[in-house]
Parts: sequence; structure tokens; C-alpha cells
Amino acid sequence: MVSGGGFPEYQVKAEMLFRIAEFVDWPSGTFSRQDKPFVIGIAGKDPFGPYLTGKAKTQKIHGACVEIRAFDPEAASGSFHLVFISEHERERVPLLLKKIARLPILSVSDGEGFSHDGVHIGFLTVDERIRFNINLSTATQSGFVVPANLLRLAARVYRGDGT
Amino acid sequence: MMSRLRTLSVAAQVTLVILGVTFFALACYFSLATVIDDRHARETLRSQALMLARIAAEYNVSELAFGYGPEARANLDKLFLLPEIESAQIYDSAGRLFASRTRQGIHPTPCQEKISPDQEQTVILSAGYLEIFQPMIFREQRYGTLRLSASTAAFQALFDARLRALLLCLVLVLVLVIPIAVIVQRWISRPIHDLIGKVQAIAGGDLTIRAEVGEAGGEVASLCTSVNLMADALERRIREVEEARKLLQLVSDHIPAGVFWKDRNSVYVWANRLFAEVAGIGEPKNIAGKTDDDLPWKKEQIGFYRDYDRRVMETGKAELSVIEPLRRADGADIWLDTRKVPLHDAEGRVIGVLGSFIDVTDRIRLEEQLRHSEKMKAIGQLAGGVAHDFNNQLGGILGSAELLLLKLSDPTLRSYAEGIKTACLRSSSLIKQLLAFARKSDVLSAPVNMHQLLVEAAGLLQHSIDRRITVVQNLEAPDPTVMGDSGQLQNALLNLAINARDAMPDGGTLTFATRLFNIEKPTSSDELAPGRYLEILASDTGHGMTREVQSRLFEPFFTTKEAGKGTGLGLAAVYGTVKSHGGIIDVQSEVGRGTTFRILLPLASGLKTDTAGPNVEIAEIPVKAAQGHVLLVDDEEVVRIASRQMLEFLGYRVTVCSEGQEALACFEKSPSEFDLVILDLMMPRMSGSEVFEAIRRLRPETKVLVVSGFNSQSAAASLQSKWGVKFLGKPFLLNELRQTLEELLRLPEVPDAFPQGMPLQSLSPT
Repeated sequence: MVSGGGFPEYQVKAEMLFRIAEFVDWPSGTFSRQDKPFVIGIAGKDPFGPYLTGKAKTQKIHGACVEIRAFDPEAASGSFHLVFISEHERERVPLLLKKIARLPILSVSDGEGFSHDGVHIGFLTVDERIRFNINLSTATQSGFVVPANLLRLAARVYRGDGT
Repeated sequence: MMSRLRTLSVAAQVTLVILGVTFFALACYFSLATVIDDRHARETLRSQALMLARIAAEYNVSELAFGYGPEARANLDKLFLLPEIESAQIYDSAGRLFASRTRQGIHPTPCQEKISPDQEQTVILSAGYLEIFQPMIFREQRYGTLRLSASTAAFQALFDARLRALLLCLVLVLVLVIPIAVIVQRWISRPIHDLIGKVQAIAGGDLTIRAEVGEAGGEVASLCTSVNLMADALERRIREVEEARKLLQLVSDHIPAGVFWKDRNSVYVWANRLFAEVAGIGEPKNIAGKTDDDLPWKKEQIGFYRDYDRRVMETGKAELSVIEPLRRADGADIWLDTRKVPLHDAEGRVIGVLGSFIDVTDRIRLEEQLRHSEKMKAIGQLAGGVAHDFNNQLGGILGSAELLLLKLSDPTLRSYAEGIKTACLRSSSLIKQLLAFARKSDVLSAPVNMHQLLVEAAGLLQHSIDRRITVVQNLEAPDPTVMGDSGQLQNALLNLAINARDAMPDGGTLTFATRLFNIEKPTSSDELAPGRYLEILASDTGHGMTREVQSRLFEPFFTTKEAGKGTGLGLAAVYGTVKSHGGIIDVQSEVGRGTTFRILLPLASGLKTDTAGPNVEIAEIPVKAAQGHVLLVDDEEVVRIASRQMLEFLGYRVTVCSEGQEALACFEKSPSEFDLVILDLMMPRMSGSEVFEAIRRLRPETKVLVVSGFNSQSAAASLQSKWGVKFLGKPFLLNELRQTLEELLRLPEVPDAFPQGMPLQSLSPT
């Protein structure tokens, strides 16, 4: 559905982002207020363009409307639910992670090796197909519950013991 | 069908029943098991497939959500671990085909490329096919639809295997049933077969056979016991029947009657010994199957018997005492008194006829003889009566004719009177013969040498008959003497000779033969008492006689000769003569061969024969007139007139009375006045003998001449010799009268010669 070869890469990644957000369980109570939107922050340059914004207008995640914002680590980071870290923000990753550590914000990066470094989920391309790694250790630390069928799809799962 | 089954043997029936029951049981079991298993298998498949679809849908929803096609296909491949699953498809949320897998080895059927995105959970179970649509949902969001299709071919194959097992079982049962049938035959039907064999042997007549009763009991043993009881009863019954049959045969063989029975077609079924003897068939049992045509009866008799049978069977009524003739096997013709009774079956239908007969030949012959002699007697009485009256009339005519002759001188007139006289004498001679037959002329009983009579008769015949006839004498009897009247006997012999002559118009041989004939025991068919008899045979070689003629031979006036040639009295007179001599006469004749008369006369041994013939030559009428007073008593006027005239012509004084009382009254007045009384024997009111007695009482020395229409030479002789009474048969010639009267008057008067109470009964007609 989202891995079709004929689609632009970031359209696929946008779709996957939505699916991952849907599949992963946020700590309980996160979506207790219906009027609060599900906020996706984009750290760095937005590679999705208007596709993601358009999609956010039509789809909900965990029953909430979706809002796309640029991620500002200085601002109240607690209002974000998911942060997409673009490929160019490699140097800022440790800082970013530091900022959102222990917060129920799912980090998704667009680059190989990010997840090894602590990002919860990192996109990568294998055999011309867009896939992802999961750092289950950090995700669990952040209070997320990653379901098995999502883990099954991951190219690699890091569990804190280096695997 | 069921009646056909029943005609089969027990073994076959048992085999079929075992086969049928086994087949039915197996078929029931397999059908029920198949239905239950089918349901169960379908339900199991349905629930398994549905469960699998749910799991697969849930499992694959992430692959669908994230577009992981190869992973999804790999997952779908795992579904084929369940052997019923044949293909699986995943459609996305828009209803487009996302992933599709078909089991290896199954020809891939083209699956739908697109389905409704809102396809609900559906289970479609058709004949051999199960299809499930399962929505794929994660966190209440629908991502697509999973389709699973499963085949029921697997358990269909199971059922096929079951059917094969059923068939195999049937074949096994078939194979097993044969030895079972053999065993069943050994256990059940062999004793029955053995019993059947024994029953057939009993039915075939071997009543000693008994069935062995098994110790175990049961129906067969009970059947054997029943068969044995039946055989005992049958044997007893057959023995009884056999004994009854033997008794019947014994009784029927020893009763003096022939017994037989015939079936509806007059075919003989049974007969007794007497019948077998009469029919000449040897043993009585040989009669079975024969008809009257096979027996020696005469043709016309067979027709009669058949009609008799048919009559009895058609009317259903017995006919008793039918007298019928029968020719025995030995050729003898006998008479039977037969009775035939219809035989009925249980329904009352006539099935044949039971006949019995007794031989009544002797009775019939006796009856015939009796009838014949009764007839002869009746004819004799008739003839005698006629002859008496006729003689009276002739006496008148003859006397008148003779007186006329004495008075007439005209030769023409004399010749007329001569004619009357001749006719009278001829008539008188006829009457004599008639009287001889009627035995009214009593027999003069003197010893007669029959050989002498035969020699005389033969001598007489040699001169008087056709020279072409040879007279032969075979006189073999050692003693030819009989008691009797030689004149009558000679007449009889001459009559037989004349009969023989007339039977041989072209010549031949007349044989006289005599021999001694002894009758030792009284026989029913013979009228003769036991004793010694002289048998006289007169045989000719002439044309013979038919049976009909023979039966009427001795009847007076029966003649086969042309009118005028015979009187029909000759043989009748012979018959009378023989009878009056205590003998018998019979005849044997065959047409074309000749006739033999046989006479049997009782022998009078040791008596001197009277060789003197009774015929005395009558002298010429004398010229000299007689003297004396004659009392003439006769009831016939014509006789009175003629006699008176004759007496007066002879010179006698005559007083005439027409009846006894008048004569006695006349005589009483002056008994001595009459020199002679001429007395007719047969008179009304007072008979001649009564008048004679009265006269003798009044004047015993009175000479009496008895005259009678019953001419009797013997009576004349005996009266003269014993009582001094002369006899003259009517009609008499003048000369005879004269001579007799002269002889009488010459006799000395013998007053006490006639004892009291001895009437002239010998002269009375009997």
C-alpha cells in the first residue's frame, strides 16, 4: 500500500509514518482529551512537502486530528506526539534525544544508523524497498508499547543488549 | 419374488438371508457414518477455516498496512499447512487484490481482482467448496479483506475410501457366506434331506424304513418322530387294507357267483376266480385293463353287455335279475342271472359298475322243459277233446255210409258212399294219431321185443320207400324187451321212418340202432328215474332241421311239409307214445348233416314178449243175420242213429237210450231181456262206468261192449281178458261191430268176474 515502487519516496514514508503512529501504543492517558490533536513535529527541513500536510487534514491518528508543526526543541516539547528527524539533522540527534528523553514522543528518523543511536524508529532502504529499524529498548524506556506485528516488519530491532 | 424364494433350497435361502442382512447392516452403518462424518467434517472445516481466516487476517493486517507484499504472500503460503485450504487472497481497503496464493498442484483458478471494499465476513459452503471473506481490521480500522477457499475434496476422498471399504466388506461377506452356507446346509438342511430321502422311500413302498431321531431334539427331531408315526400308521393301515383285500378275494373266490367290476368306460378293473374261469383268463388279476372285446363272448352278447353297463351307469340305478346268455371260454353256452349295481365315488358320481352273476342254465333248461311239457299237456287235452267228439261224429258218418252201401245197388251211388266211407276211415286214422299224442289211448301193457318191431318196420320199409334209401340196423342191446303197446310202438317207429324218408328226397341212409342205457343217479335235466333203459336211435342223413323247427317238432299239426303231404301229427303221436310208455324222446339235428331221434324206454327184463300183434284180420261181413236184444246207450244222436241202424241191419233187436239214467231204468224193468249192452263211456250226468257198475249190480252176467271216442287198443285187450268186457273204439266199421258182438256173445257168462268197487277207471279220460 505504501511500499509501491511507483510512488515518490516521501509519500511512501509519509504513509508509513501514519501507519507506525497508528500501530504504536502511547502510554495510557495520552489521548484522553479528544479535542487535543495528534501533533507531528518535523525536525529540520520538511522533506514531505504538502503531501503530509494534506494527509494530516484527512486522516486521524488514535482518533485525534493530526497537526504538522516544525519541531522546536526549545519550545514546549511536551505538546508533540511524534517527531520526524530529517536526514540532515544527524548532528543534532543526540541533543534532540536528550530533550525528548523520558517524554512520550515517538522519534522517527530518516537515515540509517539513527535508531542504533537511540532514535525509536529509523527508515532505511533495503533492496529498493523502504523499511525501518526499531530501537525497542529506547522505545520501551519512553513508555511506548510496540506491537509484535510491527516488530515483525522491522528490518532490525535493537533491544538494548546491542541486538 | 417371495414364492420364487420359497422354491429355493434351505441352504440357498439361508445364504441369501445372510447376504441380505449383512448388506443391509453394512449399508446402514456406512450411510449413517457418512452422513454424520460429512456433517462433522464440514462443520470442522468451516470452523477451522474461519478460525484460520481470522488469525490470518489479524496476522497479515500489518503486512497489508505497510504494503509488505512478499511477506504477506509468504504468510499466505503457511495457510496451506491445513490440507483443505486451496487458495488465499488479500484485498486492500479499496478492494484491490494485494496478495494471492494458490496451493501447489492445484490448477489456479482465476481469482477476483477486485471485491467490494465493504465485504462483510462471509462463509459460503457449497457442494465441494468453502469460501470465506474475512475483514482485516486493526485498531478498529479496516485495512482490507482476506479471502480463503477450501475444498471438501479431502473428506470426499475419505467417503470414497469408505465406499470402497463397504464394497470390499461385501465381497468378503460373499466369500464368507459360502462356507457359512455349507455349514448351515450341514447343520440344518442335511437332516431334512436325509428325512426327505426316507419319506420318498416310504412313499415308494418300503414301509420298514424309519427316520433316526436326533437326541438333541428340536424341530427336525420332532419332524422325524412325526414321520415315523405316520409310517407306522401307514403300515398298519396298508396291512389292514391288504388283509381286507385278501379276505374280499377269498370270499369272492369261494362264492358260487361270478363277480367283477368295470370302470366308467366298461374296462374291467377286478374279477373273482369264478369269473376268470368262465372268461378263461387264468388268474383273476389278468382281468385288469381288459374289455368285453378281449373276452370269448359272442359279438351280439358283447353289445348287450355294453348296453346293460351304460344303462346302469346313466340311470345310476341297479338292475337285478337280468337273464342273459353267455358263451364260456370252453365254448359252452350258459345262461346267467346277472345283477349290475352302479359304483359311486365320494361325490356321488358314477365311476363304474359292479356286476355279479350266477349260472342258471339248469334252471332255465328245467323251466324250458316244464314249459314244453305243460304246452304238450295242454295241446294233448285239447286234441283229446276234439278227437273224442270228432270220433263220435265219424262213427255216425261211417255207420251211415256203410248202411247206405248195403242198400245201394247203383254203382255211381255206391261209389259216392264208398267215398264217404274212405274219407271217414282216413279221418279216423288221423284222430288215432292225435289221440296217441294226447295219450288218451291207453297203453296196452305187455312185454314187447323192440328188436322184433324194428326188424318188422325195416322189412316193411324196404318195400315201401325210395330204393335210394338204405336202411341199416345196428341192434346192439342185449335185452330189447320193454313193457308197452306193440302196435303204438310200431306206429311210432314207422312214423320216425317216414319222417326220415321225407328228409332224404335224394336218398341216403336210415339207421336204426339200439343199446343199453343206464341212468345211475337222478339228474335234474332228465325226467327219468335211475334204472336200465333201452336206447333206440333213428338217424338219417337228410337235410336236417333248424333250432326253431326242433323246438316245435313234437307239436301237433306242426309240419314243414307241403300242404296235403303231411298232417303234422306223426311226430306228435310218437311223442305221446313214448311218454305214455314212460320214456323220453329227444332230437339232435344239424342243417345239411342229418337228424337223429333218440328214444329211451324203460327195460322190462325177464318178461316174455307178446309176439302176437293186436291186429286181427277182420272177416268179411256174414250173410247170416244175428239174434239178440241189444241195449244201446249213447249220448250222441248221430252215433245212436247209425249204430242202431247197423245193429238192426245185423239182425239185432235194439233198444236205444240217450243217457245213463234212462238206460238203467230201462234195464231195471227186465234185466234178463237184454243179451248185450253197448255202452258209451263219455256221457253227461251219469258216466259210462257208473252205468256199467249199476248194470253189473243188477245182473252181473250181462255182457257189455264199451265204445269210446278215446280209441284204446290196450284198454280193449285188458277189458276183454279180465272182465269179459269188450271195447270198440269209435268210429267202427260194420264188420268190426259184427265181429266184436259175435265174439262177446260167444263168451261164457261169468257172473262174479268183476269185483265190486273196481270201476272202469282205466278207461276214464285222465
